[in-house]
Amino acid sequence: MPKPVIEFMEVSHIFPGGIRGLDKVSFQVAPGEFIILCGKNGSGKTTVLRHMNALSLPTEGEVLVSGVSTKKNPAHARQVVGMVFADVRNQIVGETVADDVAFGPENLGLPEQEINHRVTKSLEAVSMGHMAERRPYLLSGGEKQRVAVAGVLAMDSRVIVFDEPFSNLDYPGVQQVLIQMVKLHKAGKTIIVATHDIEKVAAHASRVLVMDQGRLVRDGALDQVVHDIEQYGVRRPCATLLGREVNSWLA
Amino acid sequence: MAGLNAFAYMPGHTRVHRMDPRFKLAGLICLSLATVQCGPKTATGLFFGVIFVAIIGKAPAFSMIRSARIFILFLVGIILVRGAVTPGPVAFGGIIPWFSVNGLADGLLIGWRLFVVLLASAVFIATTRTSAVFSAVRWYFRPIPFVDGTRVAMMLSLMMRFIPIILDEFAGISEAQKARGVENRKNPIYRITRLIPPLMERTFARAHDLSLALVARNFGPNPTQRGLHATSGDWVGIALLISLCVGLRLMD
Repeated sequence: MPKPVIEFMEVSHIFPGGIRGLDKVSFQVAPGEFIILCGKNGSGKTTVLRHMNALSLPTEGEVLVSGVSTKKNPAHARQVVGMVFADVRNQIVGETVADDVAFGPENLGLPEQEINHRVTKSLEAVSMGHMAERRPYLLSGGEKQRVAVAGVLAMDSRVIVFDEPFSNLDYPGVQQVLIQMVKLHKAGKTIIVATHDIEKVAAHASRVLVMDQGRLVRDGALDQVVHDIEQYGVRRPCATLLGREVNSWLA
Repeated sequence: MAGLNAFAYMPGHTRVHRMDPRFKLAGLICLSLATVQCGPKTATGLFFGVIFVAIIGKAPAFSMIRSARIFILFLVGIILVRGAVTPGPVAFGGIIPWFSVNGLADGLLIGWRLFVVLLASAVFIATTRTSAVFSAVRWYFRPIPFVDGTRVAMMLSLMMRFIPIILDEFAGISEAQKARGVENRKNPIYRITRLIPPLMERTFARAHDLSLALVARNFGPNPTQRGLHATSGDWVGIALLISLCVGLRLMD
């Protein structure tokens, strides 16, 4: 088995006020996996993602990103794991699309020429090259998601985590984002999608992690976990109720 | 819709956009200093200088200021206070007994000077990226001992990123309250007390989310310095501006 890119070892997280956000969560993510992290609201999905990106640090246990503890080197974790937030409005900080994509590489202290190269390459990868000089607020929801993804790509992240990427998106918007995910996965990136609505992405995922009350309660392929998933507040994909294979939304 | 708010960067490739941010910042400081205690002729001359730069930079300075009505109210407030506290002959034939002619003239001049500075700031913000402002401020503070220039630059750039968020939230809450008939309440105190608490709460929440997003992308004290490329055009531009400021002050 290849060396895991992310490793959760008995991770617990207690919020100020004593609320337990995560409770002894353990799992590993191998390079190139496409994982759905699901659960109802408040189950701990976002907290797990934030630990991957070192935005939160474990109260107990340890998170390793490429073998390095997030406690010891949070900057390393943020470079390896790029995060696309649930509300991308908050993620976009640049005055233009190109500016926003350049923000991460600038913070890495890269030379200006390298930054420009990465911005061009990343925008092309998400088919947004022609919008480089647009102001981000003029973009649609799907386009903003793509800018956020480009921002992550420009940091050369190997793992890309999406927090509720389909919320507030219409059908074409969902397809745009899904196309990017599949494309990135084919390019060798590890993809982790946190969502309570697994129908849209189920056809592409190789593994499903189910969270409930801060605990990891299921971990396996879709057909292994789907039969009792509704008890954790996650709706089963319609096709599985009829005993059929789940179709891609891109089909 | 933060970007629709006043005081936001307007992308472009004009000569003013391409200027080194250090020169633009120096120009803004120079112009602001020239307005200190200046007379109406100097203020008017500087006003036309700023308009000239705004036209070259294709910066919609007036529409930016129009959307920042609070500043205009502030200027009107200055004129009224000045008129009320300055002794002298009564203005408007005594219709307003406490309002003096000298005070009105003083207030108008102070308001005019501040308006020129406000306009120049609007042009500066419209034509300068936040990251470039960060680089310029850090560069200026570098030789100053005991002052952490990077920290000052970071605070300034964060503030510039947060202002559109505050204005965005203000606009959103105002619209939501208008939709529920708040305009039927004529008492401004009531309206303010209904506006401020949610505005504060949402601004802090958005600021928290934005700060997380910045941290997630490794925002830190040593980013790449971008846009610091002085050209002969920048030197000519700043020389012209300084000449204008000095010339006007000498003629004043």
